[in-house]
Amino acid sequence: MSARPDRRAWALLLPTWLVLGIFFLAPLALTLVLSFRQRGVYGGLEPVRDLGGYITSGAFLGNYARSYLGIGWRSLWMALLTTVLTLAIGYPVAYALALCVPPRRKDLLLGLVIVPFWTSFLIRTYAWMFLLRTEGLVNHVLLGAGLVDRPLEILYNQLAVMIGLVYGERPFMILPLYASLEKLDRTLLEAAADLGAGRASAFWRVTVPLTAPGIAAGIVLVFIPSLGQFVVSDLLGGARSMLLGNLIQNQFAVARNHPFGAALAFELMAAVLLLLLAYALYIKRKGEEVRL
Amino acid sequence: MNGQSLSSVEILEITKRFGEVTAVDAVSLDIRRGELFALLGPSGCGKTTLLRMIGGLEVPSAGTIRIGGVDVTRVPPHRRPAHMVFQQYALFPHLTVAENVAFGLRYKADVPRATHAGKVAEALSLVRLTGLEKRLPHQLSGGQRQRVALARALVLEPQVLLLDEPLAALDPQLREEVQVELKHLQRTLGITFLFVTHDREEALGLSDRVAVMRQGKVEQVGTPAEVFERPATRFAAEFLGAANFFTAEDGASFLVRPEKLRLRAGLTEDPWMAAVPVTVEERIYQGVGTTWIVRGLAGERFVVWEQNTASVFDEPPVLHPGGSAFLSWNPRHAVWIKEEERE
Repeated sequence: MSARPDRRAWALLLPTWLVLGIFFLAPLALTLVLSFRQRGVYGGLEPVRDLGGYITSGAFLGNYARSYLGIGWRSLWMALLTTVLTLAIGYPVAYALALCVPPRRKDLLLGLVIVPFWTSFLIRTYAWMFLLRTEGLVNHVLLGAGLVDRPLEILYNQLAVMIGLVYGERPFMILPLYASLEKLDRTLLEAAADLGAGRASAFWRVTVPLTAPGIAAGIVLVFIPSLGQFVVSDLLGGARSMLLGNLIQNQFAVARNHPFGAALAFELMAAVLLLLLAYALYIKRKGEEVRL
Repeated sequence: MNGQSLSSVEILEITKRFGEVTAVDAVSLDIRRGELFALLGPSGCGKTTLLRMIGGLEVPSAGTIRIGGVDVTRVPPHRRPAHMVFQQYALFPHLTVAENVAFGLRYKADVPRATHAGKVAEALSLVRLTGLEKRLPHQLSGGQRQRVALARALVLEPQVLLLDEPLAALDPQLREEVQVELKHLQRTLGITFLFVTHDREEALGLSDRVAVMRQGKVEQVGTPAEVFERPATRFAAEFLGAANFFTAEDGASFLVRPEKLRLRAGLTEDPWMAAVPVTVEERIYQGVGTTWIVRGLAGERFVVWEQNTASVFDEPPVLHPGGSAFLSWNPRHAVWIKEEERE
């Protein structure tokens, strides 16, 4: 080994630090500073004349004091519901893919889960508009089948946003679940059956606990993007389905209140970081507990 | 349980096909109550499939399986009075030793919940694991894991304990110890142990009776001594140990085991010893004994094993590779084989 491994390692890491610094840390720092400023009358920044006074008076926290609790809560429960629904839909799909499908069909079906990624998410969300609108395919079929006599109002409301969110996030739940189910040692299920467990009992006592890391990964991968989502709610949602993501986007694009938008973004980031911290702690404990 | 039948597991014309392949081909076996029974054969002979069918993990294509006189052919695994010790033990990695052992107890309607802890403790003391209740499987040694798997099955008081290659995953030093322990456990509990192995020494040393299997069929059933000393077929003979085949004048063939042969420089004094002249090809000193490789007049290869009853320093070997000698045996040790070779 080299005499000064530390210095050499740093030199090798320099490009990484440069990229991270320029494209991630610097903008983050700028946004943080921005979040403590005040909006000027015409959309720019209000100059700070007395920095000491600005800080001691607490005025720099003005943006964080503004509350949009309604939107915050809606974002939170929409993200939670999305996570629960994708888990409920994704687990059976992942289970079937990992344990029920014959191996030669597995690649094809797994491919079908991934294929939607070949099209832009924006375009797929537009497609949902055509499906869900009053003259859309869904209403067409329902009317044709005589199930309804008036087209249903399923677009531009929270239901549509929910459908769009669940649709979009579903692969991010299925893939980690599939990975952990695939790793599951099937003889453990045989052992459970041999010891007297019926299928349901074996599922709850063996399969679920042993795929918990996959469930946790799926929850994190779905919950975090759902929390910051703004495209789906913008396109499919109505006036009353605005989410935190839309609010932030609005501050930058429409209201031109950059400092407030930056503060909201940081609040969202704090929430996400807390969740990631909880996840990291969980994984660490799991790693010590179970080494498969 | 009724005491009328001496059978523990009755296998009647059991067949298992996987697509085009017949893994088990119309096998019938009668395993007696309280017996240590081995299914012995090379990999792919169908022994594991047969064990799995008895455990209910595989459904037979045809035939009947009875356990304790009750037809269980179509009974799902969780309702059979037979429990399995898996080859890699299949312990639940997320549960402690005690939780693993207790796993199946809640499914037994006749075992009250209040007695569970006591039963677990009893099973763990039976396999000498008391004190390790709170450990997780990955914190145990291979031998300890196997004992947990044993306790987990035995706590359910099965009529039959099924063991898939019980010694295969253990270190060689540990095998003998576990073998003795399994035997002792079986004698203490008196329940039927049915195990699968590809290791002839394991089968001979551990079982009361052995079924030698080949290509989905049973070649021979008998005590270890019977299948070793009186193999019914050429395959059984060869699978159970090295065998020397001789052809008699009438074309029939017989075999003599290496340890039943004697290699001497001259013809022996025993008038009833059959003998053939051979050429010594190789001498392999093994400490306990010496293996000799010799060739008959027609170039046939024979293996002789002699125990080193005397030290080579006291009695220097008189035979050397390249020299000629006589191979002799007691005709009573010759086993005549019916030639019914099949593919």
